[in-house]
Amino acid sequence: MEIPNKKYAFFLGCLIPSREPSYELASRKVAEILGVNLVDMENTTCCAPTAFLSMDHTTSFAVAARNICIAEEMAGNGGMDLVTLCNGCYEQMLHINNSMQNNTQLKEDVNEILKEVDREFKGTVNIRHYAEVLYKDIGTDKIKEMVENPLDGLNVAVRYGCHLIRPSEVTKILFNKEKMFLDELVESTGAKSVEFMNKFRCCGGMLRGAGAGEISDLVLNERLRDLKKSGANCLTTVCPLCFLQFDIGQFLLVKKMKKAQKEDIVPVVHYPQLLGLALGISAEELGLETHRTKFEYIKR
Amino acid sequence: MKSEKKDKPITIPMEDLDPSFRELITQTFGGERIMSCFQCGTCVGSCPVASVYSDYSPRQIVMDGLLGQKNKLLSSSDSPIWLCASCFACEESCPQGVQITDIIIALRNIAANITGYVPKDLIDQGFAFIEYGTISPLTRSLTKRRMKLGLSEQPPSLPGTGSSVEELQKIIAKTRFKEKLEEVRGNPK
Repeated sequence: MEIPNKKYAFFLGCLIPSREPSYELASRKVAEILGVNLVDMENTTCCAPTAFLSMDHTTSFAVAARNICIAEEMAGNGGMDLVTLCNGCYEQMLHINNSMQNNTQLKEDVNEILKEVDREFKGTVNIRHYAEVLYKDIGTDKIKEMVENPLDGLNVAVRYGCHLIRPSEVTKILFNKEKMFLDELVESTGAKSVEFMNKFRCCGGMLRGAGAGEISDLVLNERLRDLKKSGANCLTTVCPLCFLQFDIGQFLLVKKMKKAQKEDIVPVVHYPQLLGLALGISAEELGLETHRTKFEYIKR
Repeated sequence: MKSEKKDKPITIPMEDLDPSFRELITQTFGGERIMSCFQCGTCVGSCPVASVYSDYSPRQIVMDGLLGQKNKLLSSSDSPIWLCASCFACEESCPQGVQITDIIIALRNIAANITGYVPKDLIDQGFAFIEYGTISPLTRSLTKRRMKLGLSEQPPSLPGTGSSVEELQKIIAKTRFKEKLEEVRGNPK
């Protein structure tokens, strides 16, 4: 499974390095321990997802493709696979990468625009998500071997986020069981992935920046109701929007909605932080204190 | 959320409908499969927005597209196309492969193209993006937090650094993205 000394072009996206740096921090530390060689990309821009795709397909495609070109140009020999932490960046670039690889006219049209910046999309790299790199290229067996501090007794509600898994035509994920790769990754830490209703359903995160805050609150409230019945001690996410929605949103709802109670607030962690704790990294070193919700693992 | 729906059947005047609209949608990227819809409503069942706001319906959006309700979808500030969370649940559950989320994005593109309604929040994000190359520029306090965690002040891959903004602006000059934003911003709706 593991390709020795494989390097990956690391694409952070906009939100994580600025608003959720602990996610970046934890992912770097975990990658180092597991032997995932992340090489920072340079001169990237926002990948121009949903909001921009909505206003102009052409611009969005060209901007996303330009980022992919940067990965293609890294280390010669057809480039490095691009790995991202952000679900939005992942689905956007995966979709565009696939579309352009399979549609010659589209590729030509976009390359015509990329000539303005002396770049050319060749279609030589794959777009990966950090979580699926850990699953496919490292594997849960190796992770289990390296766990020093198993998270026994921890019940985790696992959220994949919308764009890690949909549309399945793009992501190639088969929804044929309740527990899939991210649950296995969580359980490789010794924790338990709990069942809960609407586990794969949208949290409303995308609506927040788009002037639909009230609907975002209502959708989040439904997800919290699902979470409450799960018996989870914590929630783990890989999507930066899910994270913000739950880390900050739970407090917002306590203020705005009678039914939301402060005692019900579930602490949220990014998956690499959970894995980091299991691998023996301290909570401090993983930046857990920067979250609004407070998570503490106590061995039972 | 309180529903605006009335109980009486709605009459749509024929003058409101543009019969060529469905062709325009099929010719727009993502809208190719709109005619496969047989209005089963499975999409509504899967929709997280419809679940909390009963006036919102992906099925209705597709129906309006097929009928040719151009004004309602493209020019009204109440247009439902901007309430989609783009979660792809409808697209995933659709038995006909209609690609509903992609159709909604196609409708948004058409709205921007004909200088219809685009929410102010998105237009603002567009302008910020053009200037900084990122939707979330680093402020001083955010930079401090990075450094406190032991991360670099600015990672090389932070969007908007190096030659990235320069190149971005060359691309949008070619695609005329800024002009498009200015036109929709100028729209009095």
